[in-house]
Amino acid sequence: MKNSYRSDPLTQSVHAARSDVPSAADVRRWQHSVATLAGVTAAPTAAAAMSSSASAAGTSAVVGTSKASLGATTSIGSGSALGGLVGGGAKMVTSALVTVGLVGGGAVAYQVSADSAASPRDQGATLQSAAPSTRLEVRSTPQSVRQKPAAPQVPAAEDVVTVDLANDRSQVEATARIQSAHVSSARVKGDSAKSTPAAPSREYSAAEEARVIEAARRALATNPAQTLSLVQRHQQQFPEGALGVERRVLLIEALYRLGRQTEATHALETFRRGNPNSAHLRRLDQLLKVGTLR
Amino acid sequence: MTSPRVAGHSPLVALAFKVSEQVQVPSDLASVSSSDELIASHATRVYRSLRYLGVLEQELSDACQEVFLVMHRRHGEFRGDSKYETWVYGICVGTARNVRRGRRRALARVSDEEPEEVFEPTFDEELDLQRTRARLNEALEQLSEDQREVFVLHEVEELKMNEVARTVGCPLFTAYSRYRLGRRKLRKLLEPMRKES
Repeated sequence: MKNSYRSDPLTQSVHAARSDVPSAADVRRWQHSVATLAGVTAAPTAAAAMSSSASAAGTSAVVGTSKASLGATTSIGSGSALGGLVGGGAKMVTSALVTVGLVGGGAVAYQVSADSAASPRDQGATLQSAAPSTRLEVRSTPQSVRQKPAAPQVPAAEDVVTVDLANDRSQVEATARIQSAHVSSARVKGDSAKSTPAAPSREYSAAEEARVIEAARRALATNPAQTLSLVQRHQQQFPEGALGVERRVLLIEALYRLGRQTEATHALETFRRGNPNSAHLRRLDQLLKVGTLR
Repeated sequence: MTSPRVAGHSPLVALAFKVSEQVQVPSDLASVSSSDELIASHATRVYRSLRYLGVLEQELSDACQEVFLVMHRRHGEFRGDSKYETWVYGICVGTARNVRRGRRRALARVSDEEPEEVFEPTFDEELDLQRTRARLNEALEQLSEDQREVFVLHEVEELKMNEVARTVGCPLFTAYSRYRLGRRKLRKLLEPMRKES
């Protein structure tokens, strides 16, 4: 077969070039580093988007600005939001309305204290009366905001900072945590979200929690054993922390990287039972499958 | 949105996440969970085009990673007015240009030392293949950047000429002309190989 193009050096070279493919190990490395790098910046993305919506007068252009200012690695949320806006037809209008609603709402939200004593029911009512366009969108969302915490759904806000609503806390509290976790993790990384007012610290420190998880994630590529110990520390320190899902995901990845296949698979199955709809599952499944083949 | 006291901010914050999550759903490629698949399905394309567009062996892995990150970050900008692959090639071409330019600057500062080629031969045929590839790359170095891009995209990556023109951003006719000139030059440069074998 090779002889058929031997005669022509150029054709021969081109064929050699076409058969030039990256190794499976390379591909895995890229997958991992992109997931890690994209993950690291996804949290500030959300926080920064919040802060800009809090500070600026609102149109959807604000979202664009925050996206552009995030030069770093990824802006899944707003990036694909824009993509969706471009492609969406009728949905576009709704989403745009929601964006505006959010921007305005965000501004209000940041002026109030972080006291989230209002009952979920009151808040639902607020949503309905305050932002009708918002409510429209909520209704079409499969996992709506007003969903009761009784349903153990785990919405992945961004892939990184996922929130375990399966905990028996009220949803209000949980979402307040997400937000403070986002804000603090942005601070931890020295991101540009300086204008964002931090949620007042309670005995529970979201910043500390985010720091532990962040450190665990950073260690994953180079020192999975350390990830494991940080994950354990997180478990002791924040058994019902807002980043519980993240912790479990990191645990699985760390076990996998340490070559502890059986334990990783076991942890994955446990995770699957608790979070049957998690956005992490697909990636983890793939990771472990690839690992087994190796 | 009326009284600052009524809401607390959690529902709105939660809603922001809902919205971003929800918009992600239709564009499956954007979600992090599928970024692995995205990388797996474009790995060869990215790796190979960068390599023959003049990114050196030792720069290759980082450059690939850079492309994937850009794909990830700018996914929302993909308008669907070309094939997704073409869009990816556009990123590759841009990245390769950056890498080459960065290197040229670095080399101008330091020295003109040739990077050593490292072969890790497994068996003869593989060695042969690697030599052939390396030689093609050497020859491609002699082409102008424009010619190289057009040739690699059309011959190695097998893009249609109109896609090539779109990717590098030149008129179709120009692309053909660059291709012809590049090909002629390569033939001449690679001719010695025939005598060897």
